[in-house]
Amino acid sequence: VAGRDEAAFEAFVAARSHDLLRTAVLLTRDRGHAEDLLQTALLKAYRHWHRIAADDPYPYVRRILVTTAASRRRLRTTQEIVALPAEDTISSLLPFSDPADEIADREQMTAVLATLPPRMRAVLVLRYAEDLSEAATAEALGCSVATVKSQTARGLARLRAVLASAPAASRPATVKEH
Amino acid sequence: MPLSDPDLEARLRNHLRARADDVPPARGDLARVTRARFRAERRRRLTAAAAGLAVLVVVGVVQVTGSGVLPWSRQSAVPSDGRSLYDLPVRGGLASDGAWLRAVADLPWESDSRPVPGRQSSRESRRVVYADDVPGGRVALVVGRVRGVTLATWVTGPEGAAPDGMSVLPDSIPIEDGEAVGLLDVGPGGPAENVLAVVGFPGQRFRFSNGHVADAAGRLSLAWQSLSPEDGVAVSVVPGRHAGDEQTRLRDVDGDDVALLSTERFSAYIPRMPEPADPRGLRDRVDDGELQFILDYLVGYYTEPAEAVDPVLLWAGPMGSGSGESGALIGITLPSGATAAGMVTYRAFDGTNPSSNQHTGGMSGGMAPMPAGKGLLERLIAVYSWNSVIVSGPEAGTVAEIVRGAAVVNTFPLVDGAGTGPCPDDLAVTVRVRNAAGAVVGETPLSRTVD
Repeated sequence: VAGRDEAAFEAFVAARSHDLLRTAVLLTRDRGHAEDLLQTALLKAYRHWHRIAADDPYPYVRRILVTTAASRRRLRTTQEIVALPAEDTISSLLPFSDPADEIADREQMTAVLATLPPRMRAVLVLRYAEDLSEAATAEALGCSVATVKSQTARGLARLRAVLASAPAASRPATVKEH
Repeated sequence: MPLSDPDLEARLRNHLRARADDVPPARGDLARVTRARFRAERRRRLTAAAAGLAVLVVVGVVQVTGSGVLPWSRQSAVPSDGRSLYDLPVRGGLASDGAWLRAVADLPWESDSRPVPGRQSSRESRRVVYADDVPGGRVALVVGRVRGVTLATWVTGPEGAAPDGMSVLPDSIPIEDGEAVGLLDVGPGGPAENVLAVVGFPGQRFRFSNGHVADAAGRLSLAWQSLSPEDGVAVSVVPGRHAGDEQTRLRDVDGDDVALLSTERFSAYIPRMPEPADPRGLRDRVDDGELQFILDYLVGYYTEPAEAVDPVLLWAGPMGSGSGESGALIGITLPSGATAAGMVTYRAFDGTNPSSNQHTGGMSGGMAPMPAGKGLLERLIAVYSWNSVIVSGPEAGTVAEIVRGAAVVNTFPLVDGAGTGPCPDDLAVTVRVRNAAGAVVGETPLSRTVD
């Protein structure tokens, strides 16, 4: 990696690593594994940095991150979203009025997401956390739009089925404004 | 009462964003750490270049052999002439029942009550493009349009149902021109068999798979079932799933995935895995949920029910890296005699959240199947995970050595032939097992994982 590419890599990591870490946390189960995933993705990108640095590297690196997470179950290990971040506290949670209900709600959703296969979960993260279109999600995952549609529909169906049968924390969701 | 589509999507979006917002900034030395890892990796690769070449040749042979067993010959696609399913005439046994079709097309969709941008077709635009009685019930495919986008959903009910006895699936999906749509439902006799309906274009062909098979040599292939559409519509009874549905695939003749929806009762069916055999007495060292998780994955990867593959708990306990994680290694024996293994690792809940005492995660990996000839407990298996390696081998093995080149980089004890220890990485590492007398019982590279 040449000197100017080194500088570009430094700048990219400084500017976008937090965005990538946010996605990594959603794809994995805790901060430690998310950082490991992010490091792996950055390492893969760094190997080819001279080729990708000319354009905006973010979509490329995000694709590496997501496909690495989605394939870890098979390639080496899979990380499951089950843990609330250690930083979670009642005061940091969002607008529900009853903290106990809110924690239960989050834990319920976290537990249900953990039952989804990695690629299905990755599709839901990209579609609902990153607000990517079906086409952009397909591109990020290297799959067809039909697969994104199927994985989204089946992922939602599985969430619905499990949440509907769960006894607690079934209350209307509130979308946080950004 | 089931959650509506918009409510579920909003709840999911809220949950994911709230979690993401809790993430503190990334560490400040990521670029430096990445460069250090890159340099270390390059040094290791140079050292291991000769061994790597040999491995590459072997893998290449396996892949060429494997590609010859695919049971599907590629043929040219059937053109849709740029049409959407919306443009085709209604098909199926109810095609002439105009009153029933109109009433079903007029059934409300979930998105009607809580509109989601881009997901709500106008009710006036909706029409049924396929309706028939299929094994176990009556189904109809309804399509609608909004701003030039075609949306599709399935409507299901009992055989012979009147329109008011039909239920609209909560999900609707946008479809492109030329795209087919499938539906999976539980079969009339229960989940041992499923019913698959696919609506495409006349002349189009499809194939379905719900998992892999491995022959006696350990070669993997997907088990495909060719469907026989008439007039572009296929309705088939397909094998039920014995585990989760991650391995369910529906493709057209070009190998493209076909959008596949499923009924709520199909999605809700979660098979319970049986207890694995526990010859090493390790069952109380693994969490029930995590054990179910890896059994579900491993059984679901193949097409056989759990009872037919004799799951065995090969190892369980705290991982050797000292990270605080635990793990378990499960083995199965396939009908061909080939054996396969899967691993889960997880971290038990640390007690920081007062409202939860549940376990907090799992990782799993399925390893490439091994040829028939040796029983699972006699087979030497070494699996890497996050700076640890899990070893399962013959009972005589008492010590495992992590070997890189000619150097032993670590040793750890085995109990009944199994155990775990630290392992710096998974690059050019082999695991050698010795018995109490110091003689080598076996040596193996780390297990190759499967996709």
